Amino acid sequence: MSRRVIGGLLAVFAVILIFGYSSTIPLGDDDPRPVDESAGTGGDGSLEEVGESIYEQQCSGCHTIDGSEGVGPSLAGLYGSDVSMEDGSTVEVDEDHLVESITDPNAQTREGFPSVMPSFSNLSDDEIAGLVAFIQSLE
Amino acid sequence: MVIDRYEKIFMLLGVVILVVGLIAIAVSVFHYGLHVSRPAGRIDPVQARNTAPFDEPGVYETDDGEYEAVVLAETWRFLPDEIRVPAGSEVTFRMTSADVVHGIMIEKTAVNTMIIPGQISEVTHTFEQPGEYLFVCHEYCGTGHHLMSGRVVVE
Amino acid sequence: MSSIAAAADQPIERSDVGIETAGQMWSVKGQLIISLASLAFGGFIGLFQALERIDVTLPPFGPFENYYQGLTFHGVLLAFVFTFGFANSFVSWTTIRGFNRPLASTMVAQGSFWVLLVGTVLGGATMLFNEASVLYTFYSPMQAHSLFYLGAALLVVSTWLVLLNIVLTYRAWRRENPTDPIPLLGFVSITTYIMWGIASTGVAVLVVGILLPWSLGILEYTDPQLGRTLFWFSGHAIVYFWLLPAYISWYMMIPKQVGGRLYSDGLTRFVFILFLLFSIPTGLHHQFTDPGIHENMKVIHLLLTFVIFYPSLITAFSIMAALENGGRRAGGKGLFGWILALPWNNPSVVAQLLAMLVFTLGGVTGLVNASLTVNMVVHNTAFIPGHFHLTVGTAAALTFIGVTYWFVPYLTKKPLFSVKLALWQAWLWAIGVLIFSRGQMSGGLETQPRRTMLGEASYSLPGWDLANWLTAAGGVIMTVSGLLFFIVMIGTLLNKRVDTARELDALEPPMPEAPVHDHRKSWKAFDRLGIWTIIAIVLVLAAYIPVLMMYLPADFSSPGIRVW
Repeated sequence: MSRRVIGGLLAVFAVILIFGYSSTIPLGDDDPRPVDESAGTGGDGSLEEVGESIYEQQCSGCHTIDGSEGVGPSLAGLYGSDVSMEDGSTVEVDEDHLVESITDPNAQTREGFPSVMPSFSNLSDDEIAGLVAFIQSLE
Repeated sequence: MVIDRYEKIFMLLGVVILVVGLIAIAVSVFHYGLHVSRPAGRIDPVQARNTAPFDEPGVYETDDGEYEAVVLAETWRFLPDEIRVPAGSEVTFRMTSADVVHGIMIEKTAVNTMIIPGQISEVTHTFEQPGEYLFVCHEYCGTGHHLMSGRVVVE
Repeated sequence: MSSIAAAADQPIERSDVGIETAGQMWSVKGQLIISLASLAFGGFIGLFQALERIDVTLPPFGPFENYYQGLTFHGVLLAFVFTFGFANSFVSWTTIRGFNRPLASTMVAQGSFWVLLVGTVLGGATMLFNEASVLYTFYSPMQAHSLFYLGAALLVVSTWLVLLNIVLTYRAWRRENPTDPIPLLGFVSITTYIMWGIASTGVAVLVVGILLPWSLGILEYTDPQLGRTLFWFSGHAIVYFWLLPAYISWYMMIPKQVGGRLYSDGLTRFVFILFLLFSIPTGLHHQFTDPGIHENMKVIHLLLTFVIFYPSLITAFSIMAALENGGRRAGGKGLFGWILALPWNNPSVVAQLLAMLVFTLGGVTGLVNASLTVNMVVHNTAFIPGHFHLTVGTAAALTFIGVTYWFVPYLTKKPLFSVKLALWQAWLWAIGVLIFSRGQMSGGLETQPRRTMLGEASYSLPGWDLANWLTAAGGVIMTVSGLLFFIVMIGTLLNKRVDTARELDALEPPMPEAPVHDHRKSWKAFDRLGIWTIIAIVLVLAAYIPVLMMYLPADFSSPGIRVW
């Protein structure tokens, strides 16, 4: 490495160190953000949109919508399919089964998955209906 | 032992730097009244969802301009995930976890505490300015950790 | 060519007998290989985490099912295996050189290799099979597979075996040299391991006494708050176990490498004694925001944390003095001219100089974290990983890399492959980490949580975009640097072994000369290691017994949960 290259690298290093870091602390921007009233519920959208919004907020950590397995089973093509349970039984996924799985998930557990899902019984009936509609819409 | 003059100067300087830092912290504690978390009670984590006050999480007015926010943290959400209070309210957050270790921090405030199963966390903050304040879970709590958040709405 | 020079070019046999016996050097090399392999795998996974910030999810996080599995792998391999393996290897060797005799027990030396290997395989396998996505802090009541805890315990046991060997070696040396002062290189090696020996008891009790039986079903419940306290009993001191092997290189090898001399023997001993005394009773500054710990105890640990910052300040002075000494001897003039006169064409030196420069920032941000109330702004935000990639991720890691640039050629008798690539490696790492940490820190100051899959998070704030891009860009640069490092390492291993005296001399390690103020001017009592160890234990007990007393009775009431 020539002296010029070394000097250049030292200069780059020093510039990042001094100017980069002295600008790290955000100054003067202490005003809170205005309230976004549309946040959280998916606004005035359709049932399906409400469901999609809740899905992204609360379900997508474990359940994919592209068919791949996460912590829990994928929601893609779930509705109407026959699934096997840990206790050996087979269940057809209908609305009742979806509602039960959301509000009392550990009543039955899908074969091959851990029983770790928390209950979402705090969701309102409309929100649960939205989720069911969203899951129904997934091919 | 031989200590050189320059060494002595530098060692003294080091002591000065650290003492100045400690004084600054003391000022923040005694003058500005900033406190870190301290014991606020214990709870059986398995029964947390059925134990008062966490069986009914929510925001309660305790006195004029004073509120208590009872927050239950569980995988992967805060109950409630929206806390609405009028501007100028002093809000005491009383929190616990129903399962694993969580944490909470509210943007633009000094509210930052762990939420540990078995322990009750208590933090107080006065929200002067209206607006929306994001709060997030800041301790890894499983695959849905990044979905765990909420907001304080100050009106 | 003179006849003497001609003789130097003749092939010669340098036998392995002497103080470096084949049976012991085999363990030194083996643990270095485990260490560097962990750096390769663990470091590479970091790329996926950096890119996730800007929503680039390479399918799906390398070999992993989810972000947090990869993050666990990254943390455990780099924070535990890479560092333990390097310390075990390098400090075993500095012990041999320091006391100028073989280690006391070849069996224990080889044992530490096997235990480290088994621990790494158990930990690695449980993480790869997604049975332990609990991150490297493994906070209960998240429950990993029992073999993960067993692996973690074995990693610690391997360091204990090295400690045992170092102590036995010291005692054997003392029997042979009853009145001599402890050689400085031996002194820094043994104090490093005694400190860690005391510190690691906390995590050992946690893992062996609680988590392992709990994961096996023998214990039904755990106490998460008690678990965190035991973890951080070891968890801050481990920082110095990462750092002190780097300090050994800075104090003992770097002066020689830059053609200078260390100034004071006494201050060096003072610094390492301070680390022995104060590394451990500081752990609560990681728990300032824990609800179960009394505020007064947090303040006491805050004060002790400021004390432990002090030896690093002295180090800054001593090392800088040695560097300036070297630079001036090489003809550097003026206030800053000596800096340019340093050997900037030696990759081992450049890597470590840059590690030191980055560490100034790492140290200062560490003081920020430790400052009780300021901590509330940064606790568990992205500021923290921003900070520790400057410290363990650069001050320690880039120094270790710098050391391997002479250590590996020496061990293998093969010259370093491509000095030029090695130089670029060091520069890219240092510049990369500065950009990376700038991103993490500014994000953290704007409420960005740490250890979070931010690209998929259900929230974001306006200031985070730039922070995420900087983090990702820095991470990519560091990955390129890591790639260069392994090209250099593999190239070196493929090089031909040299066999002439001249070539072998060029690979001789940089061994320390006596400091300007040598041991005759030092305080003799520094050498009373037994007494210092007892004082260290008393201090630890004084700082932790009240914490425990105020906390008890423990609440074992949390059942294990799998959350991934």
